[in-house]
Amino acid sequence: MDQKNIRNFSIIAHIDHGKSTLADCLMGVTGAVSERESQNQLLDSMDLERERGITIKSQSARLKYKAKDGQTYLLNLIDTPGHVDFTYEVSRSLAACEGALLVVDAAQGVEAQTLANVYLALDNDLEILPILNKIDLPTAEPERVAQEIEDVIGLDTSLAIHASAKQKIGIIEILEQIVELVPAPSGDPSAPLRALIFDSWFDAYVGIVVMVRVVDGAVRVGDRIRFMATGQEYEVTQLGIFNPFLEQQKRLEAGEVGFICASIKTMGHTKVGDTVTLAANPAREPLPGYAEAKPMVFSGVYPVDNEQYEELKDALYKLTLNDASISYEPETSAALGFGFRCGFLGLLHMEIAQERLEREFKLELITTAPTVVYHVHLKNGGILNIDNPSQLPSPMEIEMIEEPFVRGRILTPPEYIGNLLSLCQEKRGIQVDIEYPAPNRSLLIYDFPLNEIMIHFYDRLKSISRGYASFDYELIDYRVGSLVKLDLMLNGNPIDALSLIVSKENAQYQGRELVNKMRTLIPRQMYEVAIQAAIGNKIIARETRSALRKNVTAKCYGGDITRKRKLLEKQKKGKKRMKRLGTVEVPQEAFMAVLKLEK
Amino acid sequence: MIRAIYIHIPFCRRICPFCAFAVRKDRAGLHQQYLKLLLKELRRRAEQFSQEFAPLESIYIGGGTPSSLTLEEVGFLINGVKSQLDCSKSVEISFEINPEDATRDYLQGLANIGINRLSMGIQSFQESSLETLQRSHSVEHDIKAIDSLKSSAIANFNLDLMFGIPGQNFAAFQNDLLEFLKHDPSHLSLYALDIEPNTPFAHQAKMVSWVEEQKELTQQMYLWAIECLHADGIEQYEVSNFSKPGLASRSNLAVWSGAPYLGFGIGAHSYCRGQRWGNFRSLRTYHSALEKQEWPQAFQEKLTTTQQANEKLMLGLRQNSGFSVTSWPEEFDINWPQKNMDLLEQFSQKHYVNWNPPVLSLPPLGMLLADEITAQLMLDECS
Repeated sequence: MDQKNIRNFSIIAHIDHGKSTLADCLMGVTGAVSERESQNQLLDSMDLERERGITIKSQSARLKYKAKDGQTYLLNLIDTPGHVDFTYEVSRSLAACEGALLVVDAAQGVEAQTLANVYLALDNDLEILPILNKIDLPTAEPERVAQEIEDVIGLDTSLAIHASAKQKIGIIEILEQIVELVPAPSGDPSAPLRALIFDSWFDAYVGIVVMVRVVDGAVRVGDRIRFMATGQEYEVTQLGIFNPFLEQQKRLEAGEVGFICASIKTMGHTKVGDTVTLAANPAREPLPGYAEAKPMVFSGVYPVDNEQYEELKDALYKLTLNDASISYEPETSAALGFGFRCGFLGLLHMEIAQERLEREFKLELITTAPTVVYHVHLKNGGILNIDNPSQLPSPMEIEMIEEPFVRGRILTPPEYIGNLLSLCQEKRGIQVDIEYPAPNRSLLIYDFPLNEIMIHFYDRLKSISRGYASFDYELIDYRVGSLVKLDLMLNGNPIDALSLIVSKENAQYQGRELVNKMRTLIPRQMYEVAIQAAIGNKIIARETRSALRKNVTAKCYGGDITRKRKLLEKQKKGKKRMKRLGTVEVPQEAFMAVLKLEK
Repeated sequence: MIRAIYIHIPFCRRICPFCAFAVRKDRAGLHQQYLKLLLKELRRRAEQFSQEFAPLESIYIGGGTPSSLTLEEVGFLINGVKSQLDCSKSVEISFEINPEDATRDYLQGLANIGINRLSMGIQSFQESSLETLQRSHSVEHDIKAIDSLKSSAIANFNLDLMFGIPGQNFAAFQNDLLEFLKHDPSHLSLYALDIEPNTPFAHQAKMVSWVEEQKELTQQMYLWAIECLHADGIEQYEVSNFSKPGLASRSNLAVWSGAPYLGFGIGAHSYCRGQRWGNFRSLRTYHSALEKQEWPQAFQEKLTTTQQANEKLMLGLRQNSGFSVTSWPEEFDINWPQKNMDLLEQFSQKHYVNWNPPVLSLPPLGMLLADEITAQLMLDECS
């Protein structure tokens, strides 16, 4: 189809502001899916996952729409990941579009997350169409929220559509605005192929599936393609689109969005943000904006059962096939044996990845407390990047340690400011600014050590503000910090996997809290266990877990041996989830104890 | 060969709040029908396993409260068993009796029927403990009952005692045990009060926390009891069982040695031909299955070799004789000690186990942690 009849757009919305419902509604109205199919929120639906053997991970879809001007348009809805950790992925998805629908709940107003994504859309020079959603709610205040969008984000709302995806109000207006206001793609159809990868995932049947936006030229089945950043070449075996169901095509042209399969089995060959070109007639320059996704949060990932090391390795390999932003390197811990140091984009990303490893790959894992990357300047002039506390050199060798700082934005109703300020203070935040962009909105801008906001920041922010405050952050720089290594010892043996880097002023308190928490997390053992926290050679806290008492079922009568055996099998199974460190059995969650402290 | 059977009489005048067995409130009208069902099940099993039965060595009639049956009913039951199974050898016929039922006449009647071993649930010689356990008998009753028992023709008898009862202090327990010894029984079942799931006690938060908090005291009672009984010539042969030499319960030994046995009645369990099964716990389902000529089984399982080995370990470690590594199914006995060398050494050092290859057994300290030790030493299903 002619590019002038193509529109590529995505939807920006805060969680719960109605993104999925709106997407379903657009598909329903354009006839992409029937009423019945759309009932189970297509974009979030897992039922879609298998269609002709290809897993549909990206929830992007092509809609055919006959506009009021009498012409038929192809509207490509490009899905974006929904969380702060995936900023880079979001930015690449947005780079594949010319426009974005900014969906704001007319009863809730603008949230920090929305703000962050709008900034990304503006960075990508997108046409942004504000939509005031949920206007059917009795509490909806479209006028106030429109004003808020103008005040807080600075977007013109004179054309903002009042909509209710649920009641199908304003949907045609939205489609018309997309046709009218979102620019048509403007690539060169006759230039050498340039297609932007904005998503990719691994499929057991066809290898890696790559989602692309063709910017220039065209790609056909049988073409030999090249990934420009990695230099890898493959022959295209399948092409197609999701409408939202898979539909094979012979070619994808400039302006179009679709998938490419090319029997790609190797991780890292298809990186989000990379440009696909033809091997025979390559483009001279890749599309701009490619960057290696940089992990910000690291943690050790170990199999509970050392024999699962190879399985874990395989699972990580497969996981990175559809999430290239995860990094992993082999690592050895005296306590935990062989495992990997994995890097994630953020805390949520880490949790998701760990859960997938355990659930999809059936692994029992121990993950150590998350840590950031420290720049350690040595007295001999060297600089080390440390992402594992146990590798911190001795204090004698260290000149200074720098830690990563982020700039955080907290958007909140003014009545919670007082408590939020104390929270920021406690988290070693440095106030940059407080703004009052709208009558009911205050914007706190703070710089934080990244390490501090990883632990109990977001949940406390939510509880302090009864859920009203929202938070977003970006990495800004590294700053010198007063930091020390806190070691934890069980029966006198330091456990490397439990070491932490903490600020000197909080070390004493954290050591005590940690030891206390460990005492509750470690079950009673056959022998007494001494739990100690130390900085260097100095013990700063100690607790004792007393030995296990009576652990035997008195009665084994009536011949019911089965029940007894099953109880013991269960007891045994519980042990398999624990790691034996010397004579002490430590449960998985103890390695994350620092995340379980009250404050 | 099957040498032991168990018969379950589920009726109780009063349901004890700590009991997790299949029991039901007694109604005299149900007895006849139930006994007929029992004998029907027995007859069918006797046919099914006709090749497996050796002359019986042990018949155990437990409950519930077997003594809720009249002498006539007991006679009907025993005659029914004798008509189906070979009881020509000197078979030990054990019968559980409640103190209230231990009258001279009843005991005499039991002896005439052929009962030659009795087991009485005394639980405690302290009024306050009996109250806590909501038992319907008094201490005075108990002592009278024991006296009648001793003057009866049945010399071989067991008493049940419980310890770790809420409110029971160390001295009270010592009194219980000394009082017990005064009566010179041949056997003692001495068990710590466990809170079993789905019992009334399990729903009493106070009870649960007391039992948890008093574990230290309960341990001391247990260790002391083992010593005290030993000094009196009564030896421990299992976690909770003690007897004079040669008078261990045959029924217990059969079940714990891994020998086949059959159980009859609701909630009864059996082990034969490498399979374990358990009967329905509900009288109604038990009844209707038998009426339909089906087996009244709630479950049946064929043990894998690993499960067999783990059961041997579990049951062996509960007994003072321990278990011998060489008694394991062959594929396991070679590497197991090697694999568990560290643990065995650790445990030996702390006197939790006696490891005299090829026999592993638990001294008193180890008995207290038998579940934990077993769980640590058990085999993985896949290995």
